[in-house]
Amino acid sequence: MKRESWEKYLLVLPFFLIFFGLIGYPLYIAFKLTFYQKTIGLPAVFIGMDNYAQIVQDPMFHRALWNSLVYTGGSVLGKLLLGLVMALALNEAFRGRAILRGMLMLPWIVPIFVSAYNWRWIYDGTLGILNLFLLQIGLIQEPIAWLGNLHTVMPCVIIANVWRGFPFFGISLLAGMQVIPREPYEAADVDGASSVQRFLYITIPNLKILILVVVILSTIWTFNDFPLLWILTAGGPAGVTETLPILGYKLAFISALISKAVSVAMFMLPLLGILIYILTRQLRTPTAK
Amino acid sequence: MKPKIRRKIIVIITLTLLSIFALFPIYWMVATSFTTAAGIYARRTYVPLHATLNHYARLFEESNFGIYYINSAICTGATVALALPISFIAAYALIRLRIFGQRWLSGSVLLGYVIPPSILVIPLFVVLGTFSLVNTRTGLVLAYLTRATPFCTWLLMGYLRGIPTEIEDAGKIDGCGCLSLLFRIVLPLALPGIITAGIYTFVVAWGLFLYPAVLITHNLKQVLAIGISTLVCGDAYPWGQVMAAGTLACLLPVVIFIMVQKYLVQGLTAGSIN
Repeated sequence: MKRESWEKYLLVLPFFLIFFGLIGYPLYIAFKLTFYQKTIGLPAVFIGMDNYAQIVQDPMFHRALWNSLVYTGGSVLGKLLLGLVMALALNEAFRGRAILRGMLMLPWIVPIFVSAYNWRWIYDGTLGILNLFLLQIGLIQEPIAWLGNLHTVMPCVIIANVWRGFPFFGISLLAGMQVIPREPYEAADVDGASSVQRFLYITIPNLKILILVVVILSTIWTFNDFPLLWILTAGGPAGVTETLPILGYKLAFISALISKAVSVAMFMLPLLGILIYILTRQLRTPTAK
Repeated sequence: MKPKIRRKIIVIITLTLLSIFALFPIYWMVATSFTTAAGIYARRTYVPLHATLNHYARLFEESNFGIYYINSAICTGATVALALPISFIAAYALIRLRIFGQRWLSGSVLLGYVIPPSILVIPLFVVLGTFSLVNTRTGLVLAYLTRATPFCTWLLMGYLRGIPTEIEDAGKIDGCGCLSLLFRIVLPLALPGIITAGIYTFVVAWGLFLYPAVLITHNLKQVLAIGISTLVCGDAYPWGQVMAAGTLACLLPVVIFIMVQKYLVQGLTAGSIN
């Protein structure tokens, strides 16, 4: 018994090394750094809470926080809606369903940087296929620079994000729908319930926890997203798609303000922390086996 | 039978529209990659009329694309090969064995995953720098592992919770040691979860962008995610080549996905809500 007790710690040692050495310790360094003024090439100077105080008053930060919320909110909502549609449609029995399910998963398999280039090419102001298509069907009279226009750019990047993320929702929700018992549906059929009623009163309540899980996971991914926005717009035009990760990156690697960049990123932690708290809470209660 | 037919029509229309939305950007990438430069600039059709392999040839002749591809394959492969056993064993230990601080640890596994890469990337640069691991593939794999292991461990913890302990107990009575129990009895049962975690890790590691952007500055050590951007000069995009690079970058993940697809039936979060 004695031997087993240290053996089991040996089993988790690699995980602990990564968890504490490569996540915990760097997080501590990052946290410490936010109390210093650190510019690339210069020694760090202790300034207490000044970084945070400056950021809270900075309009650039307010804009980035707002953009992050719009980008995340819009994308997750879009992904949930399309994911539900995908799951409902694939939940019907028809031939070739397995193949179609696999094909609809493809956007999620395409590497994120590739999907960013794909959409940049589709949205291209002069040669983009979106302009060609809309000109041909007569919806627009002249080409639009989709990613250069202050009004179109945010919806465009959200669509690109939804494209990449909806299959994850669809496939997860489909798996959830397939384990809902048949009886309530049969009872509803006897009572003459409509499809909409069956969806609202049977499907949705049964999927509640699953929806919460995928929404929270996707919120975390979208909130942290860097490559898609960086390749599509790099935060432009005029900062209207500059989210917190983009602002942090620009501060660190363009303005060389290391500690300020880390402080900006630190503001993302409380929100993500709350989401994780809800997630672990929800998952623990119904499964107290 | 009228409503049944109407329902069928709605499903068909929905799936057609969804498929067009999902597949057109991929089709367009492949089509562009085979279109001559002249064809791209005289854009009037949706199919490549004068098909060419020129963009692919130039990709390998004029850039280090082949090297980026190999680097990506090595780093992603190493990440999957390390993350899966580490996460599987850790998940098992956190679920089944009595470990000091177990409750607290299993609750905070996912915390490691939500800490934004934007926060970690600069300190990781410092930490890896002290071991001279900046600008090395080893360092990059270590950085990738910070993204992969917490999520995989969390996912596998969910799977393992759903596996009844009776089978393991029987194994224990038969005198199986801790490790042989783990690999001969638990592993086969958890295989769908492990494959899900594996494809997830592969897709994520193959696409990671911020870590290689910061941790690798040496061009010949660079991976695809950043390497492709070297094709772009300022605002001038050689779209044919970029799309050819994108097509090739999709190839490996798609092939692997097709091979393991049937195991993903339960969905990517199936384990997590057990």
